[in-house]
Amino acid sequence: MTKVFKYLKSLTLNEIRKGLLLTQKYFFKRKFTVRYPEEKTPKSPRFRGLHALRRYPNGEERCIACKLCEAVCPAAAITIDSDVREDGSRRTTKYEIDLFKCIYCGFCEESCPVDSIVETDIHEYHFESKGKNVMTKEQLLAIGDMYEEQIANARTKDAKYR
Amino acid sequence: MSETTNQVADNTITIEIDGQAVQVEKGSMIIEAADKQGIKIPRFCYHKKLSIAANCRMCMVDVEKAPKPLPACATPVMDGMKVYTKSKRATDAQRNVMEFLLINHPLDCPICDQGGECELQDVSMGYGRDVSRYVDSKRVVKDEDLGSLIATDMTRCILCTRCVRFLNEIAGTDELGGIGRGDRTNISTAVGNSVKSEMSGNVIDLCPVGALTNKPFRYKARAWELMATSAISMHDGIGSNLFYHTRNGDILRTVPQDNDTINEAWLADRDRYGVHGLKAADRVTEPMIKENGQWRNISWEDALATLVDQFKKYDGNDIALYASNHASTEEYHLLKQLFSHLGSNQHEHRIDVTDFSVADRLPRVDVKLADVSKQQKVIIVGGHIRHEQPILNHKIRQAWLAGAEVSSFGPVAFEQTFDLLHDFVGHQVNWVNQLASLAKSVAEITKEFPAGALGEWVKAQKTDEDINHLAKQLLKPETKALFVLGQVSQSHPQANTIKAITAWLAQVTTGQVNEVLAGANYAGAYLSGLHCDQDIKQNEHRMNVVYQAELQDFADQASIKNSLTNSDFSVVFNAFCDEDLKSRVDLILPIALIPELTGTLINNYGDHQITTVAQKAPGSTKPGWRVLRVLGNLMGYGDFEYDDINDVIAVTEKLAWHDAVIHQDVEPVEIEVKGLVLYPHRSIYDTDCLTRRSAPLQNSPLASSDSVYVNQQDLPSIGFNAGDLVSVEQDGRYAEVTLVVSDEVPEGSAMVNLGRQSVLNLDSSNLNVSIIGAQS
Repeated sequence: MTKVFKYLKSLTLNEIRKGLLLTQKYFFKRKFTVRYPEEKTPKSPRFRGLHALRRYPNGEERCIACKLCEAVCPAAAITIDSDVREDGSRRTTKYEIDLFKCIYCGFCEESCPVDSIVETDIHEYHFESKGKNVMTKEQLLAIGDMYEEQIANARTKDAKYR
Repeated sequence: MSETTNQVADNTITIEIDGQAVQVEKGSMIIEAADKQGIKIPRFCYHKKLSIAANCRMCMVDVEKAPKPLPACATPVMDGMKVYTKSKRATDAQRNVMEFLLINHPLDCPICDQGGECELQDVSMGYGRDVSRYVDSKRVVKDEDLGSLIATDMTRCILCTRCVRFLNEIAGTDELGGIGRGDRTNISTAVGNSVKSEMSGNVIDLCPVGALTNKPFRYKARAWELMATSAISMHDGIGSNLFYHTRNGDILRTVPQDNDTINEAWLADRDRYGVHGLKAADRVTEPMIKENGQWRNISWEDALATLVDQFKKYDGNDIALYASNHASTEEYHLLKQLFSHLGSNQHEHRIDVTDFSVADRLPRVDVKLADVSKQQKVIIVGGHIRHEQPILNHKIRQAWLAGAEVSSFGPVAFEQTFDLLHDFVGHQVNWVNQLASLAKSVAEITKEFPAGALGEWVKAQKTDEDINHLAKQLLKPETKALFVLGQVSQSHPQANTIKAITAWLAQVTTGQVNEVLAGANYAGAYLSGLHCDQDIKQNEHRMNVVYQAELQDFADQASIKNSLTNSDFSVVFNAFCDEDLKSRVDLILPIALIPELTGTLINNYGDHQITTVAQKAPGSTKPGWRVLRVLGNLMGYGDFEYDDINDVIAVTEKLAWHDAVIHQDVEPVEIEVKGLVLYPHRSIYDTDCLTRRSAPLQNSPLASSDSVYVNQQDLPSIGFNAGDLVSVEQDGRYAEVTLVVSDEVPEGSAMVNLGRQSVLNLDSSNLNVSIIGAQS
């Protein structure tokens, strides 16, 4: 009996009518879709994207090769070699981050005693060949130089919550 | 039985720490009792091997009925004492002391080399406050320059004075001290001096903070990145136990491993920094062959095939082997096996010895290293023990501190870390005569002279007041004397006469004899049978094999150069090969050094110790035992079927020290003195291929120089001034060196540094030299 009733009900196309009504409802509502890449969603100052090494305003690199980021990194993505620089200070001779290993947890940034290694809000990058996923010290410093203003702004905004 | 139980009971008392009953010896301190029980008490200035200073005040504990917290390191235990290390009063005291210590300590752990292995960091985490309340300015202290081995950041110093106490008590060179008062106190050397102790590196391990750190290791790695490999030192016959710390397979530093019967908690600088020579530029990494005067790299297969062809070309005794004393016992064993098959007995590891008049002589070592510090009389016969075996010197110093009388015979008034009762200094011929006159003086009292030619020679000596005094001291029956035969007598042209007189003296005065042997594994080479029963230099050889030795390791450098040049074929198994050696040989096979291989080292005192691989050898370098094993196979010998190193160790572990046969039937030779008497000195950092190449050691104040040292009195007859470039002439051979005047060198003596490139032409067995103008 129920089977016969269901069959007869399907002939009325009631489901299709209900579906189209829903479509019609959303057709006139406000749209949430962002037209990426022309449009972008706002990002939190805490966004953890591409890494950068910062400098002090006088141009001196901040990193002092304490190796805390290397130690704290859960993915072992950071490799540091350190030595005495000519002026006797402690500096890295190699600072590499393997972005394939990195899980963007932000521990490196959190552990850094001199705010040197930071994660910028850049999330759009790609590598075109094998090996390019390992960011060298020079590349990281260059990113830092390029986006210093933006990095500093984000840190200032977030400072009161730290 | 009951008596011994009572004695034990008399010596021990029971105290209670944190509710646990602990049995401790009377007179020990609370901290020792707690350490025994495994109860942690924080401390900075206390160290089990040093005296108690009680100046850091970190080890405060609460003792029942005491009005105030007491320092655990300086409070002797009393029967029934109840100690609380975690009560409120104890933890309050510890936290407050911690706060005071941190007032002047910079909080720059991220750039401090001690970070991660810092006692202050650890204790501050465990016992300190969470946040600093101190806001005023901190003390800053000017840095000291302590040379090429120790880096300083004196601002970090917390004035525990461990370094000061180490240098005073163990090293015996009061080179550091506290200067100033109150918060102006700082640890400093006496006006601009640097630290010259041969054991100075230990202050790095002792320093609880980052004030004194390892200079060659500075900023290289963090403690948590390092892998420790337990190994044995290859620089002297002590066989110090140590750890090599490696990062990514590279040895970055060396730290001591506690072994109470050998090196206690210490390490000589040579053992600590020698490893920095491993990466020197003249390291051989590929097998090389000389063809038509040109060197080219070849494969191991071709190299060994060439070598097999050469071995088959000559009769057994046409092939000579020269091995140094710093390879592993397994290599020596395989070398001996190879040479037995070749039918050659022309193998010699005593390459720094010049007197072979008594062949096949087992070295005599009566007293174990740990017992040296219990001796009551020590006579050093020809040796600078401090530089030959720094740890042995430390033991002699401990004996001296406990009241032992130490006397010395030798060619230089060496700077010692103890006071000498008598210091008989004379040139190489003279001091041996003085030793003989001691025998005469003893014989005159006992009315019994040594037998034979030795007795006649002793009778011919003159005695004096000092000698007679020492003779009387030696004959006092209450105390036994230990005669330490240093390296100077081992490589002396009259070595066997010196040994015979010493043996006779020891016999008459019921004393004992310890010989200081060259290298880390003299015993291993000797027990494997790598000695020749005559002077190997007497024979001509058509083929030479040099094993892990360089020209600088030989006593008679002139003759080894000749025999290498004049033979048909010479092969070198070495880790390093300098141009001088390269020009004289035909085939070079790169083999690994001790830090790069597993093997047994048998130390001066007969202890077998196994060292393990810490770092992979560079390029196609192979461990020596593997090369020799394959060589044995290629030669077709059946008994080279070792699967791995343990199979060889199974053979070598059976080698045992046995009692020495004492030879007194020597013919003493009078050496005619014409001009100056040569003393070829083996300086502390010229002992082997690694120390010679270690930059930190070669830049340290103890490194040798291309100089000839003479006494002020001899200057007029020499006719040159200090600082002049002169030539030391010996039978038409020259060594170009700088003339230096030294008070330590006796009249008539000319001391040169053996192991320097500059003196490679000289022959240590020929004592007559003169100083003439520079030849170039």
